[in-house]
Order: sequence, then structure tokens, then C-alpha cells
Amino acid sequence: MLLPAAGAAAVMAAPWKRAVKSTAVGVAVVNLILAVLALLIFDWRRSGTYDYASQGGVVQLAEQSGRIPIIRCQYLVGVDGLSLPPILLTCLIIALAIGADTSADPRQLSRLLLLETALLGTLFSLDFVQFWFFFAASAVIARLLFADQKLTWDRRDLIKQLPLVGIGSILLLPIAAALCIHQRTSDLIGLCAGPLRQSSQPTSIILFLLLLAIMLGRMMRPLGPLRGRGASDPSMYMVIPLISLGGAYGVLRIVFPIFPNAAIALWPLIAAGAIVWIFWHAMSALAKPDVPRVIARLVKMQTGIIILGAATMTASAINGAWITMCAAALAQAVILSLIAALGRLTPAPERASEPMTSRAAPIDGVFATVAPLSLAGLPLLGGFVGHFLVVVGIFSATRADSILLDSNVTNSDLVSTAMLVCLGLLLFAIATAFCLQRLIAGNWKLGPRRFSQVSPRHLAILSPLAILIVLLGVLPTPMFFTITGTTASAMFDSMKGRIDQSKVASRRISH
Amino acid sequence: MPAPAALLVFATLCPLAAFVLLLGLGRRLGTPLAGWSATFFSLLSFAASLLALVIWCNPGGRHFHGTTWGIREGPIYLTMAWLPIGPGIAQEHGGFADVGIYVDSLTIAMFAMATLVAAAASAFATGSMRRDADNPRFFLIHALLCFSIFAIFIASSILQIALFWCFAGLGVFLMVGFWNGATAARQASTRTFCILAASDALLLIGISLLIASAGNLSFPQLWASVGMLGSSHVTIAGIFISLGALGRAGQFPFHPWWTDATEAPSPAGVTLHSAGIAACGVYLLARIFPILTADVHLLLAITGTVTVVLSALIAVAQSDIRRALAYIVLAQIGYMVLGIGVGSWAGALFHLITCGFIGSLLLLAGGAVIWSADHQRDLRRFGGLWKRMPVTASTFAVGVLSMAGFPFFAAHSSRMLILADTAAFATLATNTFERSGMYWALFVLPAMSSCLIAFALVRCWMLTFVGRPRNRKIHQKAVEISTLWTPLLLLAVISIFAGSLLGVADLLAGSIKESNIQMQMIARQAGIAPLSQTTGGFNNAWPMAATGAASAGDAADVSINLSPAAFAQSHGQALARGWEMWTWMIGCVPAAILYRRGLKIARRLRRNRIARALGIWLGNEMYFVETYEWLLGRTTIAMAHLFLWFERFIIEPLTSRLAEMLRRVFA
Repeated sequence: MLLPAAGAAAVMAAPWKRAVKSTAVGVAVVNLILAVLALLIFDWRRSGTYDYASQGGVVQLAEQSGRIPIIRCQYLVGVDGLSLPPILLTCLIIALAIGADTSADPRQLSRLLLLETALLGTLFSLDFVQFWFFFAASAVIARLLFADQKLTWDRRDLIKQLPLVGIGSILLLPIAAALCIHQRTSDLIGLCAGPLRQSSQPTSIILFLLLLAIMLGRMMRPLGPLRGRGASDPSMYMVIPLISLGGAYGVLRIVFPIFPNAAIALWPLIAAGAIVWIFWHAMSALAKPDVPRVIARLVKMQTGIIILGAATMTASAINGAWITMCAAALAQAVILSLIAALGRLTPAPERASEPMTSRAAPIDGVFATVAPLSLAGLPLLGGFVGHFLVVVGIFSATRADSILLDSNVTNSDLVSTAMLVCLGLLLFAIATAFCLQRLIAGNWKLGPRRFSQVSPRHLAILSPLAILIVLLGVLPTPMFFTITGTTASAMFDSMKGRIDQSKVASRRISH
Repeated sequence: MPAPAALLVFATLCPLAAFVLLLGLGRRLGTPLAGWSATFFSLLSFAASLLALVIWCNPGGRHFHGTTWGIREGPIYLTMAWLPIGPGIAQEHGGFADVGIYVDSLTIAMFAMATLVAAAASAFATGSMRRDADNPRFFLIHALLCFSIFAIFIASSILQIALFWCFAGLGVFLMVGFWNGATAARQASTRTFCILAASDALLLIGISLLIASAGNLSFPQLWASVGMLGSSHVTIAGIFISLGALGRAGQFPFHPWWTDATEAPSPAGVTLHSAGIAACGVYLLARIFPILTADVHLLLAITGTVTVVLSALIAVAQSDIRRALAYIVLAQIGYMVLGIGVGSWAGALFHLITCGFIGSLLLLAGGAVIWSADHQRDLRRFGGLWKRMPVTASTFAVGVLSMAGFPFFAAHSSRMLILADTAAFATLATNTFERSGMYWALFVLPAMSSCLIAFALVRCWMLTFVGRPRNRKIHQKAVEISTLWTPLLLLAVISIFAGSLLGVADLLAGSIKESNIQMQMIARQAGIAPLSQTTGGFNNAWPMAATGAASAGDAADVSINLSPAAFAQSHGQALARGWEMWTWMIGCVPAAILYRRGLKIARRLRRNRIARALGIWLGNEMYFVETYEWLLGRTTIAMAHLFLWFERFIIEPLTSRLAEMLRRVFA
């Protein structure tokens, strides 16, 4: 977590331009190796409660030191099956982004490394205030990074970004502090086991909604590059999904586990919102199925799936939401980087209205096809696994041991929700088919000379991401489930354990 | 891994290897090398499948992981954990849905048929696609389709089938839109994708329901545990899964994709229509047969009957040779679905395999005519091609006779088996269970439709090959080349002897026995009450007595030892045998008389106002495509535009103003 920050200082102090790039690459690669080592050390067979390993739980490699008495803030980090895959993903994407960088600008590279520290800090943190610190820091560093790049995001994007990310990050601190003072702990695991879990009081509901709004703001960062106006360094675009990933992580790790009862009480609202969200974007994609628009809508649709998976609170749905988050980040990294790379080669406005054709750039075409298809949920690609598990999770919530049976949610509500999600995904699949048709047979006004392919080096950098998308779809078990499965089950059991058992028993009889 | 399983995995991976090769080097290889490379891999697939068939049928028990495999001995069943779905009944890997390999006699038979016709289609395409600039792309998509289809045949769970099914859907979309320069092809591919994606969604809903109720998707585990599941859950899940399978099989109301798929190049018809995607639909229904409840069976029987009647009627009035042949093949798929519905498991699969060869022969022969006529598909412009294309005409004639049900040809016995079981089903329903006489419609309508199909087949042949040439240019240009007629000759020979040559009846009887062995073993291991020896599971199917292929021991094994059922079956067999002997003649002779002088008599008949209106209605395929386009397509797009308008003019200005306001406050 701290190595990239030290690396950033080393990069700034590097005397030669060549040393700048090699130092940055070296630090990023070493960090990636350390993350892989963490994966090897991590005991994925360990099952138990949603607690620290010392207490017989699934959270491993925990470290604690220092304490601020009033809000009980402390340095508390650890890893479990849910945080390990995003940690690996962050290290990989940052390493690839630094590898793709062509400027060798020390400021840019050091900020990329600082961003890695902030993002890893968000993922490692088991203390709420510490989480806030890294959460806000990653937003600030990202802003500096993109401002430095002089990205041509228009004013509308910027003013949307300010309240969504900036205010959200600021607002998170008082909420975190209030929660920590009220609960007398800032430990996230402790907060998840605290009395707030059982409460569905208006205060809990308001706090839940506020936290959810903050994380959603982070997840739905405006996708400026997809509007076809930006044409900057591909390495910058590659890290954009990592910033959104922080929001999704917050939803799955903090918002729902801390307030499960509030989430159960609001389930109909959340489900309706998620379905409207999915349908809305599916319909908009169908109305104008040009390539950038469909991709942008597909990216936004993932938010609905993740929220629905988290809200359904079954082991399958939690796993599904988790995989969707990781698969979406991978696919976005490929798409955004590719668009940025192509943006350097062709005039942006023309590119936005002119879809790439397979004849002009067949290799780019493969990447540009695999990533959206993964987002749309084509089987044997990463996205499908996540989407399918969320749908299965919703159907599984009709089982007698479901947490949702404690609420007023009926089986028919759950079945209708799952079917509507399937319909939304079907509409998206159709929009993607239109999009694919244009990629293959789009009108080709630019001509082959003006539509050159991106460099082999850049394609070599994109290849690991594309391979991961395919691997995640073909062999998800060793890739993720052995890691996330135990933790998701522990989290599910922990939530279930807090539900009023007498109510569940009566529901089981009626079930 | 036992040799047959390893060989079938190899046969599945061969098209994938071809796909990877063509993806990387397709353009460099160019024409005809790309085609020959793909054909080489297809032939490798076929060789591996044939070897697997020989090893499988070799008597003597062989063991693997403590179980015996081989024909009538037991299947090869290998699994690995894939997706975490929570606890379930009889799970091999606790908490996980498995994927794996399930090889039994049915898998072996399907591979033998599918790899052979895929190789024939690939070889045919090297000739018919040689003039096409995008020749390597065709073989690339063809390889993708073949890989998906073979992977479906070897799958051990419904989930695995659904996965490759969706993948195959992408292949179909690309294949139908192959000539994407043409608007018709683009529109057809979009429509096809929409229908197939809808059927995939239905299948996935069915699978999710099954996970929620059973927590298992592997075939043997599902067969064993079906007794423990609530009948309403199984019925609902079965309906959704069956709808998904019906979508793939092109059955009513999903049939419009069937004609849209005729926009694909001719050799693709084999992988799309006869032995590929549609076969997969029937194959899935056959695999989930034990979990289908009586209601689902009835739904399938009705859908099959409607599709047979609809297809036969439309085929008679088609002027496009490919569409006419496609509808004739669709009617055969309808018979198979009807067969599954009425419990004629063996009949449906027997017909699937025989029609896999015959349908491929007809579609490729039609493709040869279209190729020589420079992509003209209108029957009214052909005529007199017999002299110019004697081999094609002869092989086409073999296909016509076989499909029409000419005695001693392959399709005669397989269709008779389905009709016999349908009659038995109707007898049992009306006599024993005192149901409505409407059940007889399930026998009468398909039986009468077989005459219409024979009529449509002979009409196609007569209008193409007999009489005076109606277009001199086409007649003069028509030629035959060896790359086109060699696969036709091979398929023609097999179309005559398909049943006995591959020992299909033996394999199907063996498959039931192997499945029962596996099912009982799993029931024992999981501590589930084993299914009764005489009822339930595959024993609900009618025994395969009509072919006389199954041994006496097997017949006793699978028969329903109830006298009303035995009576119904013998009654059904007598009825079907009597009907099938004459059906081809009732259809073929009037067609031969009517079209012996080309279109003269037919035109005279069309002067009648009612006949003309009927001809136009059927010729336009009962306007199903147009109706769907208006009801579903345009409505959805209109709604989509409404959403976009709302977003652009209401939501976006509102959020922008809010954001601006907040920015001012914080500034």
C-alpha cells in the first residue's frame, strides 16, 4: 500500500528522464508481485465468521497500530476474499497504465503511483475514517491527474463531477465520524456486527441512503472519453474504472453490511430503482445504437446490477455483484484505453460518429468486441458470470433461508424482479448486437489510410486485460470463487445471524 | 480420461483450432486454402467421432473411477465445480454448479451425425464460396458454430448447454448477416438475434428457477432428484427451459428466425437448420425428458403439431427454393418436438439423426442449384436442370424420396415411430384417461401434413429439374463441380441407410439403459429414494419396439408394464404403419402430375380468387414477420425513443441545473 507512495517520491527525485520511467515501472511491477505474493499467502480455504482470523474469521493479514481516542480512529488494514481480487486488479491496471505511458513525465507518473497508494488504501482499510481518508485522497489525486492532462471533458461533465465525487467525499467524513462516535468503534468489521445492523429506524435509513448516494456518485463518474471529445494519454483513461471501482467496493463492503436491515426495509425501492436504471439505459441504447453510446450505457448498467446484487443479500448475489464489479472494471479499462489510443490517431469528432470497422482495424476490432460483449453479458466472458449469479441470487432469495423473507418482499416480487432484469439484459444484448453490426459493417467514411491501428505495444498492454476477461468467463472458479466464496458466505451468514429468527421461522412455515 | 471422451473432446476442439487459425491467418491463407484448412479440421473431428463410436460399441466392460462405461454398460461422466450457487440436492461439489463431460450412446450418435454433416458442409463450401471475397470469414464463423454445437452435445449440464447456446447465437447472428452489404441480410440477422436472445433469456430464467428449487443443473443429478422437487416448481422451470429449446428449434411462435436464416450462405443451412442449432434444441429436450411434467409434455406436443401444420402449409406455397426446403426441414423438427411431447423419446432422436443427414442433403443440393443459377432462388425461374446437373438432380431425388417417407428409406421408419407413439398417446388419453377427443388432433394433423410435405418436396424437385427451362441464362450457365457433388453423393448414400448404418436404434436403446444406470448410482450415493424400475425418468417414454432394433431384454427394461399402454402402443403402430405406407404416394403423385409441365396447371389453378389469396397469404409466410415487427420491434423502438426524449429534455437539463446550483453554492 505504501510502496507506490515511496515510489512516487523516488520518481520525482529521479535525475534523468529514462530513470523516471524505469523507476515508475519498477515500483509498479514490484507492487504487482507483492500483490500476487499476498494471493499466495492468503489462505482461501479458511472458512468461518465474518471476523478477523485471530477470532476464527476470514479476514487475514490484519495489522493494527495507533489510535485517535475521540473517534477511535486507528491504522487498521487487512485482506479478505472480497478485497483481494480488486487489489490485484488495481496493481495490474496501474502497472499496465504506467507501461502504456509515453510521456515519461515525472509529475504524471508520480501521481499515478500516488493514486495506486490511495486506491489500495481504500481496499486495505478496515477502519472507517482511514477508509474515508484514502477514498477522498483517490478522488483528489485523480482530479489532479486528469486536470494535468488537460482532458477536454466539457463543462457539463465537470460540474456534474463536482457534486457527485467532491461533495460525496466531503460528506463521507461527518457520516463516518458520527457512526464511529455512536458505535464507539471505527473498525469496519465491528461496525458490521454492531447494533446498527438490527436497526431499521429512520436515522439508519437516512444514513444508509446518504452512504449509498455517496458511493453511487463515485461509481457513476461521467464517462467523458466515451463522448468522443478526449484524446489524451491512454494510460490515464485506463485508470478511470479503478476510481469507479472504489465506489462499488464501498457499496458492497460498507453500505449494505453495516445497514442490512435498512436495506431490507428499502428493498422494493432499491430493486425498483435498479430495474428502472437498467431499463432506462437499455432503452436509450436501443434508441441510438451507435458504438460509444451503447458502450457508455453498458457501463452505467453495471451499476444497477451491482446494487441489485448487493441489495438481494444472498451468497450468490453478493458473489455476482463482486464479479460484475471486477469484470466491468476490466472491460472498461480495455475500452477506454482503446478509445484514447484511437483518439490520437483519428480526429475525435469524426471518430465519435464513425464506428470502427473490422476491416479497417481487425485486431482493435477483436478488443473492441470482446470488452462490450463482456459488459453485455455474453457467456464465456467475465460479465456473464456476474450477471447470471445476480439473477440466480434473486431467484435464490425465494428460498426459506433468505434474509429478504424477513421483510415484506414476497416470492412473486423477487421472481418478477429477476425476470425484469433478464428482460433488461435482453434489450441490452439487442442493442449490443446493433453495435456489433456497425463494428463489422459500419459505413466507412474515413477510409483505411486515416484509420490506422493502435501500436503493437499498446495492444500488448491490453492483451492481459482481454485474456483476464475471457479467463474470468471460462474458468471463474479458480480465478475468483475460491477467493471470494468463503468471504461472501461468511458475510451472508453474518447478516443472516442478525435477523429476527422467530420471524424467519414463521415465514418458513408459510413458505 | 477414457478414450471415447478424449476423442470427443478432441473432436470438439478441432473447430476451435480452425477458428483460432482462421482468426489469425485467415486472410493470409485466402481462397481456397482457408476453406481447405477448415475442412481438414472438420474431417479430423469426424475421424475422432468415428473412432469414438467404434471404441464405444466394442463389447466388454471398461472401468473408470470405479464405474463401467460402454454401450449398455454406463456413461462416462466427468465434472468440475464452476459457479457457486449455494446448497442443493445431490451436488457433486458442494455449493457449486458443475460443468463437465457426459458421454453416452446418444452423445456418440449425435457426434457421428453432426461431425459428418459439418465436414460435408465445409467441403461443399470450399466450392460454393470460392467466388466470395470474404471466403475466410465464412469458414471462421462456421468453425465457431461447429465448436459451439459440438460443445453442447458433450455437455453434462443445462448450464453448460445454455453457455454454448448463447455463444452459438452470436455465430448465427454473424452467419445470417454474412452478406452484410445487403439490407435484407442485416435486417434478417437482427431479427434472428432478437428471437434467439429472447429464447436464451427464457432458458436462463428456467435455469435460475431450477437452481432455486433443486440447486443442481447436471443431467444425471437432475434425473435422480426430480422426485424430490415440487411439481409446480419443476413444471414452471420446465416450461421456461422448453420455451428456450423451442426457440432454438425454430418452433412456433419463434419460427420467423428460421426463414431469416436462409439469408446465410447455403452451406450454413446445415449448421443452422438441419443438424446444428435446431438439433441442439431437440437434444436439450431429450436430455431433460425425465424432468418434464405432463403439462410440459402436452405443451410440447401441441407446439410440435402447430409447427408441423404451419410449416407444411407454408412450404407448399413457397417460390424460393431455400425457404421451401427450410420449412420442410422445420416440419421435421416439429415432428421431433411432437415426439418428445408424446413420449416418443427414441422416435424423436431417431428422426433427428436421420433428418440430420437428409435435411443436410436437401439443403446442400438446393445450395448447389442456387450456386449454379448465380444466386437465383426462385423456383419459377428454374426448370429442365436435370440434363445440366444430373448428379445433383439424382441426389436431390434421393433426399426427396427419403424425406417424403418412401418405404425402406431412413426417414420412413423414424417418422413412423413418432406417429405410432402419437397415436398410442391419443389412444391412451382418450380410452384410459377419458380425455377429450381433441387429443387425436395430435396424430391426425401431423399425419395429414406429411402428405403436404411430400407434395412440397416433389414440387421443388419437379420445378427445378423437370420440364422446359424457364430461364435460358440460368439453364445455360448451370454446371456441376466435383467439390459440390462429392458431399452430396456421400450424404445421399447415408440418407438411404442412415438408421441401420450407424446402428442408431441400438445406440438410443443403449443410451436409456446407461442413463438409468447413472441415475440410480447417483440416487444411491446421495441417499435419494431411487426411481421406480418401471415408471419415472426415461421409462416414461414409449419403448422402441417399432424398429425392432432393441433387444428383448431392453424392451422389457423400458416398457410400461400396463396393459392399456401396451394396447395403445400396438394400436398406434397399426395405425401409423398403415398411414406411412401410403402417405408419400398421396403427396408425391398429385405433385408430379400437377408440375409435370412446369407451372402451367398451377397457374390455371391460381386464377381462382380463393386459391390466389391463399397462395399469397402462405407465400408471405402468413405475415408472421410483419406482425412481429409491428407488435414488438416498432413498439420497442418507439418506447426507446420516448425514453431518450425524456432523458434529453427533462432529466439532463434538470441535473445540469442542479449541479450548476450546487457548484455556485460551494464556489
